[in-house]
Amino acid sequence: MLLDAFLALLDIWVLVAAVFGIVVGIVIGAIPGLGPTMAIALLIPVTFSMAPIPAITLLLGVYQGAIFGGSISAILLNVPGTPSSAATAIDGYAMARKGQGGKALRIALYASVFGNIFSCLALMMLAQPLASMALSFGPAEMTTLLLFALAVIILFGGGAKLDAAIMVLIGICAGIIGLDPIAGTPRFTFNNFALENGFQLIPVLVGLFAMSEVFLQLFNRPKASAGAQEVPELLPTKVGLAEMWRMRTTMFLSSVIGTFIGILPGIGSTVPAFMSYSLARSRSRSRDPSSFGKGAAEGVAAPEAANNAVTGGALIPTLALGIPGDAVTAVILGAFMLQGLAPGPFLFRDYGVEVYAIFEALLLSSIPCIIFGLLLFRVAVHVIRIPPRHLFPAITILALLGAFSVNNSMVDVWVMLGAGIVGFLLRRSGFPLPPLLIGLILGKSLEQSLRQALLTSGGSLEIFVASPIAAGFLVTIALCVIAAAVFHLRTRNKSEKSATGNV
Amino acid sequence: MTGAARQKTGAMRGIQTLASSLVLVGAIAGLSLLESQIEVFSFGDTGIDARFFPRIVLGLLVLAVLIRLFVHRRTPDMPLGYVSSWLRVGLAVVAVTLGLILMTSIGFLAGAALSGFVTALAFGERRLIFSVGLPLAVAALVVLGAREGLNIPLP
Amino acid sequence: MSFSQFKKLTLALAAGVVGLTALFASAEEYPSRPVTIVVPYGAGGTTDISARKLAAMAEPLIGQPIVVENRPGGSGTNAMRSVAAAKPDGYTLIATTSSPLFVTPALRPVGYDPVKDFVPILNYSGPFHGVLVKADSPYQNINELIEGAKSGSTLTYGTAGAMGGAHLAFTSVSRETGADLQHVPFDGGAAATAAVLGGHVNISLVPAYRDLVQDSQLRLLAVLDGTRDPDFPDVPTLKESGYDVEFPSVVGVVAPAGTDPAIVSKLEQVFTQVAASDEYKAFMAKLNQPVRIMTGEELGETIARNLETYRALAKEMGQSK
Repeated sequence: MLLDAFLALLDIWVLVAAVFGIVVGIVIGAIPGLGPTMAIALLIPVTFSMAPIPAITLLLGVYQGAIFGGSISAILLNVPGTPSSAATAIDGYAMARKGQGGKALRIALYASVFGNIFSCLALMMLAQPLASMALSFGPAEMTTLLLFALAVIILFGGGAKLDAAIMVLIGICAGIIGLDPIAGTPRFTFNNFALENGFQLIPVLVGLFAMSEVFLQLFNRPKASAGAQEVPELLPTKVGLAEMWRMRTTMFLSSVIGTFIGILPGIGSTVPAFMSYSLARSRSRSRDPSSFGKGAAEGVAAPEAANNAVTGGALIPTLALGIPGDAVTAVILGAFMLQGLAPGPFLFRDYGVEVYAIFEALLLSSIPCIIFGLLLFRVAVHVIRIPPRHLFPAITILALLGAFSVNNSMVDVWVMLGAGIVGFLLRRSGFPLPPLLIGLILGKSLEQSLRQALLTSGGSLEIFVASPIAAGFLVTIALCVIAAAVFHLRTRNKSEKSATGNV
Repeated sequence: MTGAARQKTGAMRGIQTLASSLVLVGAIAGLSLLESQIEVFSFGDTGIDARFFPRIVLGLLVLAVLIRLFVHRRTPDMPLGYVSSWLRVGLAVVAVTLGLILMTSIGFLAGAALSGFVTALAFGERRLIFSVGLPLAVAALVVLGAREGLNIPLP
Repeated sequence: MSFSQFKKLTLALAAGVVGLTALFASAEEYPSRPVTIVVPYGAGGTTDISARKLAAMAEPLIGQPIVVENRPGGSGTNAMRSVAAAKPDGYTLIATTSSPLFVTPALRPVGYDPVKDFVPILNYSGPFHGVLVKADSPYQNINELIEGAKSGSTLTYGTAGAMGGAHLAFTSVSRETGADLQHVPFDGGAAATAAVLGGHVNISLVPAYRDLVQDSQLRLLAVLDGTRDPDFPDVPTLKESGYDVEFPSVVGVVAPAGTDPAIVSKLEQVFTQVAASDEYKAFMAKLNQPVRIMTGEELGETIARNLETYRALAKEMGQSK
């Protein structure tokens, strides 16, 4: 079967499709606001007349390319192109400021490819068992998992835990606006139809990170700005195999997190990226305590491996059950159907050769991905030398486009501007923005799962203990809180307490 | 996060206190509007209604901010910054706002170019080619790409 | 599809269209510029893909490009509101579905009246919604299920979202029969399907169930539509099983009210020919979507009738405003 599939790949069009998909994906992903969903939806009509294998290879290449592309603008400009690369920006941009932009990009590329290969292998070998594992996650299990994710990000994400908790809560509160996920009634919309949709993730992301960066740069502009802008020099950028090997555990764990969370519905790739970042950070405490946030290589590798590993994980329930977990995989599901490869229980049985050929194409497309990634970097690193007074007006215009493109609606552009102002004020005050983003992403799912769980149990909290998975997560959360508290007390009791850290 | 801030410490009340207080006000306003802004239809279900989760989260937010204000009541805050800095940011905000208001009537190209132009001015760009030409060129490129390539119906 | 196929189709259908346009002098010059079809959901979904195919196949017949524009949000109501306000000149149409046509408007103010503000053109699809239980569930048919829910134990049912048509239909069943059915809304049909597969809810009311039923992972007890699903001709509808409720699923094209009747009937003619073609049917079969053609008039009746039913139901449930 694997050999037949490989033979099916010996077609120049598959190569062309893979390369084209990856390049288009990287470019679209790098533009703030334009992400994988849009890139794939855009190319589906192109694939109508193509043969199944190149068609799907093209679309999956776009998917992976777009997730990786977001990290280029995150590293070079501190403007994440996709939500999932917001975690990469923390240490990636710090590296770029130190002149290691090229190195950061390379680490991001290699880590992304590692994550892709890892999750693709998981998809090829364990699709059926992993898909049934996904089914065992009902509302109660999801609730505890989401609480666990929030706890990890608050407790181990770096910075003051109380500030992180406040930001998460603000994010969750912002997510309340719009239609209630259970009853379908409007909440805090002030009878305005435009608000019923709530705050969409992409406009908020673009505002919080891209627009606020523009404002922040304006604010910090040195008084005498004649010509002496500090332009970081470009240091030599080789990344040795040894250096990547040093990060093997980080990349492996991050890929596991990414694949696992990818399988579960509706969480997406941003949360695993931040979880992996937090985990890598807390693991490195002993060796390398203060480098995170200031340009640690592992701070780039961890989120990139994780957010790319999500791609393979998310395809598992989509293909094995015909149940897509999010917008991107729903679009991919449609593409498979159009090619006559209906995802679901019969996909692997009826179209094994095609499906394995597609998986193999995914694995092999790592090679063109690295080649073209490296070529692209040669051009991209020079972006960092564009003076801010030329760069940021252009980013402003791209931000307007990015926000509009999500729903083709002006409301989202206004939301973007508002988020930009809020983001600017918060960053100016030294509050961390990533937890706010996480709160916004997870808030709605958390409320929905919590209330679903209570609906199925008739209001009894027993449901969270009755399921071994849910109970396991609750115990882990408790252990995390205890560990963080012990660590906190041992290092030095500064004035604050991690009081509300368990939310 | 910004790194640029902690040069001048010592001001007792600065931007952190301001931001925290704003969040506090927002959260309390949210709590007080809860009843009027979230209608609950009795549907025969138990206590878990549409107000249940917002009430918990807003309550926790108020609590967390109060703790933060209390804990940091003695720690030096960040200074508010120069008036000229705020003015530059204000100018850009006004420009983008204006660009957005006008966008529906004058189109994306002109509206976006206007926002970009004023932002460039705020950054101190005085040469016409860069302050007018560059935003216009970028906006034109974006419009072209969106219409022809990305299938986005820009205004 | 290739361009030569387009051409063939054009030739085959040209005669009919020419004959038809001659009948309506006022519509003769229509369309003289590109026509926009708004899709109230995101690009890449089944509604979007099927509308794009419909548009692509209709282009050569009307002689002008048809642009498909996605305006997602507010479960489809945002796009409906903007099309209702558009100029009724036949250049702005919307390919829409049950929920913004007659479910959501019955429940809360949406800013448009689905009957007064639109003129229906045709219905061309509509996925069947089924009553599904896990294959190892003790309930073999819908009556056993309802009996089970009447004898003490609460059964939970998942749907694609709060206050959808499926939810309202089952609420009505539970009111009529006194069955203890607890609704659990999910974020989309896929999540509700996963929940019944994982045993987290007892029942799911979702579309796109064919393969999972044929693979014996799920069991189909009934369909919510007015007619049986041709893939499962032995499974009854809710009505046939003795419950006086249905949730007809429609996917159709409507135009803003006030559009010239000649233009409407020209569009109906063109789209009906496309939707009835074998090529379109084959395309939809790949998407696992049925082709269900209704005339504009029939679609209008369906919308009006169901809007009434759902309004009454909502009022009964104390949900209406």
